[in-house]
Amino acid sequence: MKTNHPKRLLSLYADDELTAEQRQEVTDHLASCDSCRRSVEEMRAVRVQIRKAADVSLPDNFVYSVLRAARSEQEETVVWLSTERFARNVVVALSVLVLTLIGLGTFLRPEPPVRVDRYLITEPSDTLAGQVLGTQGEIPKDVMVYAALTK
Amino acid sequence: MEHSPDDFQLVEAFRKGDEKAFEEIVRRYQRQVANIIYLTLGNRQEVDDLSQEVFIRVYRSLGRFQFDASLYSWIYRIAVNLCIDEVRRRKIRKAVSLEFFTENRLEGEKRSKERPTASDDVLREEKKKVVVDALQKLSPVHRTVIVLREYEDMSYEEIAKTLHISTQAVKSRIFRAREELRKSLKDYFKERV
Repeated sequence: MKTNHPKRLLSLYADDELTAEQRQEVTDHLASCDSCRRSVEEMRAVRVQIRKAADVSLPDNFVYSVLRAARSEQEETVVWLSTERFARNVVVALSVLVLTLIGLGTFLRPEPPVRVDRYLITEPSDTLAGQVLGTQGEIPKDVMVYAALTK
Repeated sequence: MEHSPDDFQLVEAFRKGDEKAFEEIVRRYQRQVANIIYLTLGNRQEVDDLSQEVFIRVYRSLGRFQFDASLYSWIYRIAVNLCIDEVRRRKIRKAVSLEFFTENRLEGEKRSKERPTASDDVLREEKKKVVVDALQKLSPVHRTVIVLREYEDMSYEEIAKTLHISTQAVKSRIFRAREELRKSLKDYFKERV
């Protein structure tokens, strides 16, 4: 005759996690089943052995080594944070400096000279014309604008 | 008679800068933490360093601890998570192969026969090793659950909360873990009969 062993319930039985009804059912079964009774005994034996195996203790100075390590980690974090803050400030200052220099460079860059072809110069005695001839046909833009406005 | 402060008082004192309170917390739970690590990783050499790492994490986060669980289960959760990370990182599942496990047992038996006067201590240590080795053969999820149940004596509900899984999953994992342990320890139990 095939017997149904309530394997899953046995585990819960060993942990006292069954309802009263289930517990009664398992107790009745155990009364007549050597194999299941042995299973429950083995589960309990494993528990006892696990507890016996768990006999590790830490060194006496463990508390102090934890505190020392935790404090040193905290100090490292503080140093790292202040270094990081300093580095961030340096980067911001450098960025501002570079942007300022670029802006100044754009603002102060001289205007490109205006090229005046020689054949356009009709009056070589003119100061402007003379200037053009003396500078290989190029004069600053502001001089050119001034000349155009005053002639 | 002076009563020792409860966990809540210790946490509050630590938040106000009292490091003695932290020392007391470490003293209170260091043994359990060390044994959880030992049973989960099966290696005595790693216990000191990893226990220290657990309490450093506690020190770092205690200021933010909200008491939504007991301090006890919060610290255990940190220890268990650290062990799980460690198992994953080192792929410790290698642990002990069945052959190695059997060989160890046979060697142990041979030694016992060769030295009938072998001290009880040695035999006791070997027995412990057999159980710890059998634990290492379980998958990390089964191992963690069975350690919390058998060593910590946590209820199914407490385990579920600690590991953020359902109570049904706890029941199922404990059952599976026990089945695997029974298979691994078959010879050990034969010897006992």
